[in-house]
Amino acid sequence: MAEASEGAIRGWQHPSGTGVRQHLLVIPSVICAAQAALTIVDGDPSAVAIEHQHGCSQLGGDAHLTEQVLTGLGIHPNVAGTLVVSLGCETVQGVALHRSIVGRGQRAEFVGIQQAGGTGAAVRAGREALQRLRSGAASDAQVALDWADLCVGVEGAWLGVPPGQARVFLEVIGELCRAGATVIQAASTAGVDANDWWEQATRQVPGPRVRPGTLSYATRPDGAGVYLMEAPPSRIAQKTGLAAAGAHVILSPLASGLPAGCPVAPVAHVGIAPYARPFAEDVDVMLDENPQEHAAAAVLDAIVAACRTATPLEAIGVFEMAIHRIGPTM
Amino acid sequence: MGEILLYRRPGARGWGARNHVLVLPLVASASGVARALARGTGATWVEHDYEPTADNLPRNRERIALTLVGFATNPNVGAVLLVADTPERSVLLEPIRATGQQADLVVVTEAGGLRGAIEQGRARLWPLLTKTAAASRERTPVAALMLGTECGGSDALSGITANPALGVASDHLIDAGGTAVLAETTELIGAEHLLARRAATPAVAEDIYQIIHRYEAVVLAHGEDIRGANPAPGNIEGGLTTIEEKSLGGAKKGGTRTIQQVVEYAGRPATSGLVIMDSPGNDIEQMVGMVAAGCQVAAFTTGRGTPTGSAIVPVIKIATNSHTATRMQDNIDLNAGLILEGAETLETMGRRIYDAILAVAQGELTKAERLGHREFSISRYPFAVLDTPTTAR
Amino acid sequence: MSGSSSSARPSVLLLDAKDTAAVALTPLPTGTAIEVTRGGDTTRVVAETLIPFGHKIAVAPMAAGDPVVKYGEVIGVATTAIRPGQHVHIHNVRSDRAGAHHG
Repeated sequence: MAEASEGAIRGWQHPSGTGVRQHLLVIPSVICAAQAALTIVDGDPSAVAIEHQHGCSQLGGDAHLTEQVLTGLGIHPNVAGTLVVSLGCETVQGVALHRSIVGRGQRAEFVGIQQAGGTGAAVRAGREALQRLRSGAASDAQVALDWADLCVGVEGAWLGVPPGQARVFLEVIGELCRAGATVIQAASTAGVDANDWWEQATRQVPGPRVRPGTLSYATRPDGAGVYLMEAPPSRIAQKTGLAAAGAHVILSPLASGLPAGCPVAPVAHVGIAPYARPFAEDVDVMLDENPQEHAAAAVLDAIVAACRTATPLEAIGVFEMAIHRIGPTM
Repeated sequence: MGEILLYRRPGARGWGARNHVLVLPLVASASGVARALARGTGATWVEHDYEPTADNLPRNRERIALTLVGFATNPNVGAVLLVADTPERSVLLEPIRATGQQADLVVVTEAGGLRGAIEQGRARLWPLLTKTAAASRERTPVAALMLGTECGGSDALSGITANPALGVASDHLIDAGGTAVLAETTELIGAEHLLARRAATPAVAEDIYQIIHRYEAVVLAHGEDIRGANPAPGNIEGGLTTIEEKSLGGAKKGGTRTIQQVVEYAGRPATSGLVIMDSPGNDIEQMVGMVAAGCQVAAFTTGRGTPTGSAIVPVIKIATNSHTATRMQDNIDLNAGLILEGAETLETMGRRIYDAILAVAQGELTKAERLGHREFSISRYPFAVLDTPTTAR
Repeated sequence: MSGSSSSARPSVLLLDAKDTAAVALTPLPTGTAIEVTRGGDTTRVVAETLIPFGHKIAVAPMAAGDPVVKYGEVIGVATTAIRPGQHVHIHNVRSDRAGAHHG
């Protein structure tokens, strides 16, 4: 793993932690504020807005989940500064979200559309707020990162692919552990004991054995190690949960659906053949039906590359982000 | 004025107030591609988070299919380009084309990945843009209009100024042979006895009770206190005390005419006149449901000021008070607060709203359209928790 | 239906003759006197505390358990005795819609 050792990855020391990007993040606290958030970042390559469909007319569990995920994204270590855009009357209170992000040490600003006096005024105020965040972030120190400084999120789709391909992912996880990285594996364990579930899931897969700890959805781990994070089967929900849990980079096996990036964390796509063959141009590594010996190394290289430079999907701005729904919207 | 200028659409689709070309992702993961290919082309698009998963209920799939097909075939849409991830997802193309709608499709896995899909999508978009550009408006009776009514960010004045004034406008439209939709079932809780009294038949009255009680049961079944979400903190700060008070104020926007029918979410009415649509109170989901049913124009009252609109339907924003109308003037089209100042009566304000509906239907842009609002969210089937094994499919 | 002080612009609005609460169309400081007309009768009510803009002021006495009436309909139930002139809101009114009713 020579590529990733001894400071090969450039990072920045943000108030929220050490990260591999310098994004300014704009978070609408409710769907009704999303358009203003998008307009604020339009034409600004240093800023990205999150879109989601939540925050309004939600019952307790969903409202809480929305706040938890949005806070997790707002304090993400790749994010140099966060702007919360609120409407004013929604259930997930924008002011409370901003306060909780600030409370966790992040550099953050707040704009309320109703308070500012409408979309036009909010967009102007938002752009000024981004400028202040940008100035603050300019003094964030550059640092050299090693695997031990990184948290890699892994989506769960590889657990359903044939053992020959699945073993590559197990090998990658094993290598990351050995190098001291933190790994969060998203999985839909449905309340079953984590280690039993992991044993079951990886029984047929040749490769190193690891014993994961557990995390609930969108929760930061306390320290280094391998963790199983409870998540719904939906890939978008897993990506969002991994990001909210602080993953610097996300490993996404493409066995169904379309490749998509994540607004706060670069995504390394591993295409699972035969499904992913049409996406040969879009994925970073294509895993054949019978992968070669160097496949795991290629995947690790792809993770490093994603940390180092903007991925093609980041460049064309194809992201996916969603907060999964627990109950019905009211 | 008995006639207005609208776009004629083939078959039963009726008449459109706009002539959009829409790029519609059929699943969440296609949203990014839809946006990337539509930007800068003059086409409009929406994005959403709907993802089918293994445990997806048939009733949910049907609801979503009804919504997507209805949205794609709304008469304001001159042509639609669907974006699917895989070939299996493209089953909606045929039902959409069967309505007479001009439709094409991009399947990302068949187009050579994301960038291939963006290129192919643009190539398929150009002919749709060219064809629709040739459409022009024709005279048709006002009865061709279906108005969606909505309220969001309500305050205590919603039920006193803007909603009753909108009700007056709704009555004018219905008297002219048109259709108006009253929705937000959760926000009618507490007003059902009032509405049932105005039902055209006992069966319609029963439907009104049924949909409202069903939503109440859903909330209870989730062990949640409906007051947790409704009235929202902003409503309470504005003076609304109970959900009944908020509901009575909301129901006022339905005016006073007879309720002809209760329709399901995104369901197209079989009749003209005033209809009630079973929908959640969530602003965006409700709007999408009414648009999918065929509304060409929407009127949206707001107390505290909410900026949302729709990618394909003009949404007229009516403030309940002058304070909000001034503060949020970027987003507000009409000010019903003038009633409080003695400058307008309910009747004259209602007439103003009706005139605005006709003007907007004929091309005048609303503030939400100028600002590019395109909020879109699909309501999931909410009643699974109530279905017993014998009733579920 | 109306309510007013001596200025041209109404300061409260009574939506229906059966209503027990009127809506403040402007903040009513403690001690503000308002007149409420129902049919032929005019009642004088004095604000006991500040009634914020858009909030309700009681214009008829209600005992604990009595309906609170607005728009000519029941919008809730008084949780304690309410005197004319008092602020009517979440501190003394509860919703009556916790369970389903029919008819």
